[in-house]
Amino acid sequence: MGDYTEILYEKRGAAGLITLNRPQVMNAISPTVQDEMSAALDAAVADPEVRAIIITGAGRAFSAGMDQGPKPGRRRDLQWPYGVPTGQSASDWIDSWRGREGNHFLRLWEMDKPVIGAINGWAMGAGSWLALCTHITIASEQAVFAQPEVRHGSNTSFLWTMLAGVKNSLRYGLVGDHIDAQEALRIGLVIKVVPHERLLDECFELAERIALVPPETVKINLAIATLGMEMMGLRDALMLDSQLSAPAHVMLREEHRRPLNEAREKNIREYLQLRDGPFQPEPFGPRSKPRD
Amino acid sequence: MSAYQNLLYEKRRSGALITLNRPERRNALSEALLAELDTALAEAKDDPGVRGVILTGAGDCFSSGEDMTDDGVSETVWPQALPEGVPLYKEFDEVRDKDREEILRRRLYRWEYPKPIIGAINGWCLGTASWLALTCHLTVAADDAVFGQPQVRHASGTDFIWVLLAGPKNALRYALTGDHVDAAEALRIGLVNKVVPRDDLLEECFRMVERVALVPPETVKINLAIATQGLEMMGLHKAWLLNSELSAMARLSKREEFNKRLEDARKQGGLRAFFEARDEPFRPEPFGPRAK
Repeated sequence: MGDYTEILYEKRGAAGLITLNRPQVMNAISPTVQDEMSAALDAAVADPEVRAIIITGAGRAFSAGMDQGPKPGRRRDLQWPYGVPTGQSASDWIDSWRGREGNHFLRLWEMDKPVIGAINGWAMGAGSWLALCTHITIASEQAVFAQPEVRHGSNTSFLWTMLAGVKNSLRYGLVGDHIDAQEALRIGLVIKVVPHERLLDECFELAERIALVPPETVKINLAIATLGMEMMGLRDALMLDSQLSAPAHVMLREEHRRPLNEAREKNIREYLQLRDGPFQPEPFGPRSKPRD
Repeated sequence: MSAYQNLLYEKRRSGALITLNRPERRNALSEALLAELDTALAEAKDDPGVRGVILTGAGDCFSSGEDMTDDGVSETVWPQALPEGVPLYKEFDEVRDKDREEILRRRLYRWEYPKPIIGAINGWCLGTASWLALTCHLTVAADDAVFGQPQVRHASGTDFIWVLLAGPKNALRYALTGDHVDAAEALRIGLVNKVVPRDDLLEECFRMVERVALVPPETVKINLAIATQGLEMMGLHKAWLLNSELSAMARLSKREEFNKRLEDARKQGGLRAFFEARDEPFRPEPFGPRAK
């Protein structure tokens, strides 16, 4: 079904199943993943047999977030004290960070068919945003949600605020702390937590129930919720969000960012240890206990 | 009544006349002047004898806009386009705070003011001064008035008030280039209510205040709110909120190939040389009074 290289798309019963399939990099969202997901969504929308779309991840992660591979303009060779890449103007540097990802998530949000997130494991950063903008989100008990990227100079998403409210979303959005599936359920990020091996079955069963309702009715009821939230201001909030992501990424202090960048040049593990070490144990997350 | 250093405040004919009074600096909007304007507006607001405020400029212009006096301007480092030794995060943070404080907070205070503020625009009305003039509830132009946002030529933002009043096409025609607009063109595109001979400017505005004074103040206040707060509800508040974020980015968006020439000119010949270097390629101003 299609020539996908970084995702899998298959039909099962009334559902179209999209699996992010880069387990070796915890399903990081690359431009290819975005393009292929977009194509698979097109296929699912065009196919009358598909009544609901399920998104999940291969391996132990749902998605680790945006792919951190090299991208034009997004460089790390910052020149200090300016905090601007060597040889670049602040103008180019700011421009490279302005509003890129928002449309992708909004498209998912505005799908005519219900999108069910089957969150099988790590859902970090933009991976958490992908999880949150599915219409119905079900978590495996192994799921972990967090935005650890805020620790090195990055932005949270208003999707967290919409779902968890101001206080809960700020509690986690300001520090990047991990939360487990139960906490995600409590604050409203997901609607249900199920045993890991039950996750996809649970989602497929829900898709079959949705298929019992006429598609036109489902489409309208989806729109009442999703477009209604946009009318309530979600669209404006996400637009502001995408602009604020520029200052969040370029307003880097030497004392915070330089050691991280230098560690990253050596290896990613050392970088993550430097970034996340001071926050461990994660007070609310599944890594709050020492790992064995 | 004359606790003011940078403006004149006088009560006359049911109105308060506030005159921007730094003619030696073309009434440039310094922080001190803007702070005094806050105080003067608060004074007029609390005075039941004042039914309308008239805002004008001393001498031959309304105001040249932002005060660009170069006290302590430090050397720019290229290609980053930042002051020497100043990190981007710091510069960005300062500019954003300034835009939120000086532009947004003050703007909304005047916009939501319970008595009509009438702009009496004589001569040059440039950059941030054009925003001050156009966000008055009513704007009357002398036939020698010139509106423009030439600051966009050296990396600075336009303001959504131009779009609100003139529509996107007219606003962009002038905002993208900084081209000047004379009083007749300003009337045509909707920036001002009326154009009058220079000598009749204040008389016209006082006549308007006296007519307003015939209507009960509570009614005037409510009718103002229907227009101003209605536009905020329509989205103006959001547009300005976004504007203040984008303005900060615009101010930091300098490139060596565009801006270094201007800064070199400034170093050698001061502000006059800077403006000459900036504006000369745009002459003759196709629509402005300096077209010939």
